[in-house]
Amino acid sequence: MVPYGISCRQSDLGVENPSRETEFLRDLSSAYREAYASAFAIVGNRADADDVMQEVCIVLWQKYEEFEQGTDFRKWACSIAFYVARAYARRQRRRSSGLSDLALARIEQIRTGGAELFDLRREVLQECVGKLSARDQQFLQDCYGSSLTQAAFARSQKKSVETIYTRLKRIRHKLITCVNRTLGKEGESD
Amino acid sequence: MIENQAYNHANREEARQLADAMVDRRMNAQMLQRLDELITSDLGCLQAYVERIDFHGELVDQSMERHSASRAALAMDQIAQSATRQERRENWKLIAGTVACLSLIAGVFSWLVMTDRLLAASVGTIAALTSDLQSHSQLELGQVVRKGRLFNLSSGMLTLQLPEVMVDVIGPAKIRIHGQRKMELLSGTIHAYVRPGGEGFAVHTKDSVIVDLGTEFAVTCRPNAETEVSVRHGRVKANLVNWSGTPSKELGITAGRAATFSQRRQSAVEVNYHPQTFEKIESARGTIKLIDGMLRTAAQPPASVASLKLPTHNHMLVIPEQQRVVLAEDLQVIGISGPVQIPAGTAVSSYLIHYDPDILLNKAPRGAVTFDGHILAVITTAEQLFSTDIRFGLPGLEYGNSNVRELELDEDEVRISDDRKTASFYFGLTGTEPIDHARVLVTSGAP
Repeated sequence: MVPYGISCRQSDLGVENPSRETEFLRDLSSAYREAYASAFAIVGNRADADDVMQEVCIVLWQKYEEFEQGTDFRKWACSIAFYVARAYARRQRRRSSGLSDLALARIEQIRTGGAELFDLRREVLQECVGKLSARDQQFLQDCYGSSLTQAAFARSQKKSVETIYTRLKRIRHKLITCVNRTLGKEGESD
Repeated sequence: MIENQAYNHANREEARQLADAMVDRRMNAQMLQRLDELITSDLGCLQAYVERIDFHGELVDQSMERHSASRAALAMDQIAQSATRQERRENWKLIAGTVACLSLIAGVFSWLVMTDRLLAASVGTIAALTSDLQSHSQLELGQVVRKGRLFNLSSGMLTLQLPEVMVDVIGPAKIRIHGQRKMELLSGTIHAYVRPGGEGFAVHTKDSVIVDLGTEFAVTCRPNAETEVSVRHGRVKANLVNWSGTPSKELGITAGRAATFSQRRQSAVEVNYHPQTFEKIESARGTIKLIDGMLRTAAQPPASVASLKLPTHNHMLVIPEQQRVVLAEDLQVIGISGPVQIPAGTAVSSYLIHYDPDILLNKAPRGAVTFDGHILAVITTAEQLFSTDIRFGLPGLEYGNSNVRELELDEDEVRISDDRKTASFYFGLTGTEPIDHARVLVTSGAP
């Protein structure tokens, strides 16, 4: 299935084989979420994860010729997302501070090893978000959809940081309790 | 027991809170350090952290209104814009370049003819480069060296292969090649190894002319100071020169001796011989004759080759280890072609091929190394690497204790040439720790 929303012209990409682009777009769409999750786990915040994903998409396209059809695109994309995110984290670390290479490698190992479990947790979390009130869902979307810091977000909402944080913490707690209950895993707190 | 459980629970909870702080961008350096400690020392904390960060990642993902497909399409738009910008830049470059080229061609052609560069003869090739090499011009392995070529190195080491002569240039240094048998050292240090048939090779400096008589020697020329000549093997004839470059005094220097020459003071004096210059060359190149492709030598022995300690970017490193180890008893090792028996009394030199990329690459590098001696074995398994680290590894060098250093022969490739003088390598990129090691054992050839 060709995904909807394709707005770029094939000639813009300088590709001689338009079907190759369609294939790439299909593969990228199917792997985007997992690749984003890989990048997010390494850089730890939305603004940086967005920057990383832009670079990841460009790298994936540039290297798509080398990708062997029939092998696991999702795994390949996640692996590239990890490398790009790690390079990004290293640059950040040189400027200020950050997690060590060992820590980043361990995070990736856990993510790779437990990929199916994480998929399951994400599915459950989606259901749990659906059970929240419309107001809480909107608040959650505003908070996570913004690339602002909490202080800047609070200012934009004309609320104190404390108020925003307390409400966010309460919703997170609800969601974590819901996920753990659904997965039969009690005892994890927020 | 209960206390221990409570302690673990508290640590995991702390890891989760730190994950929240990371996402909320409330982390400071201390918190990051604490998080690093927790997730590198406790698997439970690591699991708790990753679960929580994944939880946040999913919420971010859900908060983005666009569907994955349209986000992918958006990404394609960005790629397209990037390609268009690139294309525009290329077009402008093409137009500007064409105009500039046409106007320059006539002038450059005339200059080349006038300076005799157009027809300058090839005198040799670039045989090896160290990974830290910095030069004022682009240098590549295998590049042809022509008569009149100037090399200006800021750091690192360059090896030139001239007929029967191998010259190592140690940066910072500036040299000019005047022919197959003549070079000028303007500043810095060179090391020359001259094989039979290469006698007569001459090095000119502001103070002296050193003519080889079948040997291995080093010359150091410092600005505003004298020239020092050291001979390791064989003999050289060194002439002090006067202000007009005419020889004014001749000195024969034999193995294990050194002398300094000063044109300003018109002095040629024997001084203490220092073998350190030669040791530096040996630690960087050993008995490597030639390298090719994306291999580099290391200018100095590294402190560690454990995973993530010595990133190699887009090349592989060949590190000379113990040289000329004479075996007291027979030694059996497992090479890529199976067991190899090396008889007692054999002099063995060892080289470690190290590859640990820390950046994303288009493709894994390929490279080859040619030795003076014959390749006895190429060791690639973790067990064999560990067991030979002690005998052939460099003292003080940390090799790490991870099994991931071994080659995965389903994706990594090692080949030995029919004359057993050249080993070629291709190391793959997969895995979270893509480090690869191979050890090459070689019969000790000429020093």
